Amino acid sequence: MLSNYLKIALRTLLRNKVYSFINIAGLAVGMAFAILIGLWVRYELSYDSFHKNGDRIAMIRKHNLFNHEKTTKIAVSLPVYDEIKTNYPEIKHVTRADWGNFHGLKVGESKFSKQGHFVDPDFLKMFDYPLIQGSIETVLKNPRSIVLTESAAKAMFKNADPIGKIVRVDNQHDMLVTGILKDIPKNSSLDFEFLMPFEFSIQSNEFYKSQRTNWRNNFLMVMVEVREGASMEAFSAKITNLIKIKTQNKKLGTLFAFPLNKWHLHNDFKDWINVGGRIDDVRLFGLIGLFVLFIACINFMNLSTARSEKRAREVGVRKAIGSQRKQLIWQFLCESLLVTFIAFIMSLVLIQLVLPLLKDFGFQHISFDFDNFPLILAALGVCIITGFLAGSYPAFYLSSYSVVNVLKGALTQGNKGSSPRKILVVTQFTFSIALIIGTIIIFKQIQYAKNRPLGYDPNNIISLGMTSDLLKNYQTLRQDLLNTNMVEAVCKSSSPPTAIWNQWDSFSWPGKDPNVVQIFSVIQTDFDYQKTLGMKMKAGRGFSREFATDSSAAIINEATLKIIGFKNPIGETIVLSDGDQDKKLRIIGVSENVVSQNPFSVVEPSITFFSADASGDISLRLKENVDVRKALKSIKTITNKYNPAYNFEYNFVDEEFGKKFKAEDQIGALAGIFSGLAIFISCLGLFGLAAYMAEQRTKEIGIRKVLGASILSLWTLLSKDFIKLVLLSCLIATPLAYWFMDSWLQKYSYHIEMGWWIFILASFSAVFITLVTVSYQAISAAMANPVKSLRTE
Amino acid sequence: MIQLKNIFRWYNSGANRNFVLRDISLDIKEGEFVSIMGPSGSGKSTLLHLLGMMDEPNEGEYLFLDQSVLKIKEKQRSELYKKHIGFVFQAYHLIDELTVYENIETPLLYHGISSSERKSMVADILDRFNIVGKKDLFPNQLSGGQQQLVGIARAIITNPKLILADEPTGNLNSKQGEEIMELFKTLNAEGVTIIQVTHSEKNAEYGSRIINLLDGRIEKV
Repeated sequence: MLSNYLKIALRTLLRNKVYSFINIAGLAVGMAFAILIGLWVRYELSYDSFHKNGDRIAMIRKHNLFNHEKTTKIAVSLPVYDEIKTNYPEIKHVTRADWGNFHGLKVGESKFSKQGHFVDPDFLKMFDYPLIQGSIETVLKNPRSIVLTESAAKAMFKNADPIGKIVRVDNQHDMLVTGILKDIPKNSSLDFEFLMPFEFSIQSNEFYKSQRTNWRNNFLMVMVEVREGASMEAFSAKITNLIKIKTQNKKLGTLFAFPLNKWHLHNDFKDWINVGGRIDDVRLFGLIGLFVLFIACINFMNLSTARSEKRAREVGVRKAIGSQRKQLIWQFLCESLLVTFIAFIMSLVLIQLVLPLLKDFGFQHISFDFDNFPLILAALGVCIITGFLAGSYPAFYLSSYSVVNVLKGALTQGNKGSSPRKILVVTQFTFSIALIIGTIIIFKQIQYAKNRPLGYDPNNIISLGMTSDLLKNYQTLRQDLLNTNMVEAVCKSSSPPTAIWNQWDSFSWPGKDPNVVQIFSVIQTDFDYQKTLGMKMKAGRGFSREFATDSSAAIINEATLKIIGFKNPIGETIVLSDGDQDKKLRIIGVSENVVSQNPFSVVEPSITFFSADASGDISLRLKENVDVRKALKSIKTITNKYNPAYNFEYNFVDEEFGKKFKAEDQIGALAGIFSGLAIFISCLGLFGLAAYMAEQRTKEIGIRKVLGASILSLWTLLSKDFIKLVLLSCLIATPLAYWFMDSWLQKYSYHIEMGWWIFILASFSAVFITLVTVSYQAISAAMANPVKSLRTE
Repeated sequence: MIQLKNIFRWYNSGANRNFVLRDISLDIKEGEFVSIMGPSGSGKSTLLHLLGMMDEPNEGEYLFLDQSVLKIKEKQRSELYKKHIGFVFQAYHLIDELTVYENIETPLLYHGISSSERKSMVADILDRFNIVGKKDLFPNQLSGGQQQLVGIARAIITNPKLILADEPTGNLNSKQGEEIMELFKTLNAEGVTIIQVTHSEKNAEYGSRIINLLDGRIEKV
């Protein structure tokens, strides 16, 4: 029986090559992308899932109330660690960690720049980063030890055994290699190539030492693992008011434990509430993937039912020779399963072809492994479900024909089945148009942020980073750079132009509300900062060597001016309370709002003040029209001279700034791909339907032609119905897309307003694409010789 | 074998009832060869469809092998049909995607007959109808007469007691038609009951009884 079904199915497919192609190609594309999205979703969901005790691990985070705004931060202060370690018996392990910076590692004369964390010995006991060599108990015990990942060790020591060897870190400290870790999985929130003991950074860093009892200065991460059976919620509740109890100051924020399984996908907070994060994208794209597949299924249903008259006779005959309806349903389901299976095989090929092209869109760690049995089974499951979904409607529809009607030839043509068909087409196009609208809005939003005035000129600025050697030799380095005649200006600052690393709440000024904690972004810098960045000033001037008093000067941005509210800010004073002493800062300039952090957010108030020991970054501006390659060569020679422990590394500030668009660019590109796909698959279906319709109405067209209808009027007649459906889809898609994209845009504090032209443009393009798709069939039907078409009846 | 009692069949069009069959009562015994005649629109085909259980009357009673067809369940009725009735169509109605062999085999599939048995049954009938050489051809490669031969082969392969034929020679030339009628005669001689609808007096003569329909009524028996 089955072989009979399959035989029929195959022969039907071969007989109607165009329909078969449309069906199979549409389904294959839909399935390929559904599976790709599935792989991506699986990868995103797999983050941090390899930690055996993951459900007992959390990060200590902090809710703040600054500027009347409720924010949630990662950084906590140093005493939090000691407090939790000593006074909380429910905690099994606790570790501190820094942000994971790049450090210069030197082995003999070879230099490497590797990213690593300073952590406590508990780190390796709570997280599953297995050691290949060394013991978990001892590798981080000695403060002067370093643990490398396998590939870092391989790069640095080639084939020699690294254990017991010396690595010179930042050209300052000799560290002993005590352990080798397996490489960190790609789906790990924490990523690093080496670990060093946090205790070492305390011993070697005066600043850290001074912070042991300071609850106000938040600059590190603390992560905990609760004991088996202990409640994370209870612990989280217990530490809420820890800072208030310790400092008697209720303005310093509240603590809570943020579980590991939320780090990657649920990392967004709004008003202290965990509101989601990347999970929104995962859900959105998961949904879109299903929809694209559904659209392909709709094609299948539409084409099958549209062509049903052709199959109707077979249904009648089979019923007349003894088939039950159930058997017919199975026959058509088998047929659709066969089609989906062929499409499935094609989709697997398609996935292999497409995956490399998606590398830049967040798919670089995703692959389809043919030896992964559960994965194959799951994909096959998708195939079978698709087959049933796509085949169910035609199967029930076709098998419902009554023998008498069919065999009498009295089957009412088309109209009977055309209503559900119309609904399906409208569904398809509603979704496609909504996707087009979404894509346009995403692109407009990205463009809007890319084109926003930055308040400075990011072109031609090179950021060199900072090391202890460079800091020591800064003045001579600067002079040497300027002497090349290729460099316009050099400055050092507490953070590079594309970031702000400090946020302080210790400023006051006349008229400040004492009850509000007001936080400012802080940049410490020396002369020439304004010149190097090409910062645009609204009033006043930048720091200058000509004014001796500039060592206590500050530049504020417009956002700060708005908060402070001075009418004539130049010459006014704000006070920075720094430990026991107050420092008076005289405002010498007001700059435009410089977009240095998130280009999609409103610029935060910032204060830039002069500090001789600014030590985060060195930036330099190249002169206009210099040969960049030549300039880099000279800069490299000079930098290497003063920075012997490091390979020459640099960033172009405009490129660094461009990287801030990566996530949005990815979403934009994916949305573009999906709306393209959706419209392509929908048009495939429409093409098939139009072909069918032209065939159905051959006689009508012939009669109309004989009666004198023009080709134009026939073209209008045949296209009209489809255009109506697409216009209806536009009407439904517009409010849907508006509602959805409005909530998407709300994520960005700097965002566009949705103009009506976007919706009109999307509708117009949908109608246009429809016309193009349908016209081929409509015109060729209209041009056909009526004598021929009338004779066929 | 067949008893129809006071059968009415009508269609509602607006407030009116259009009667297709009016008060038909009929007895057909096993082994008969009945021809139903009448002008277009007299209800011949509808009557045949009723007999073939593809359509239901609005009123009346239908006994087939002493079972009340209209009172038993859909499933039993379709079993009854499957087991005892073969249908032959004017337009042959072979399945275009299947070969001659496969077309003839299909009813056996629905009867759940094993593969080896199917093979020998189809081989027998191909042999009997002299179409062994055509078994791998598709319907559109055959002449009308040959297609109808396949149609009949398909109808009788399950050894039905009753063959219903709806103008079986309507699309054939007279020579092909004669052959088909001869075949029916032979089948009838072997004990198969045959009811055919026909326009042709000549073909009607092959039967043992003629029923004339006019405007849905039986003219004379």
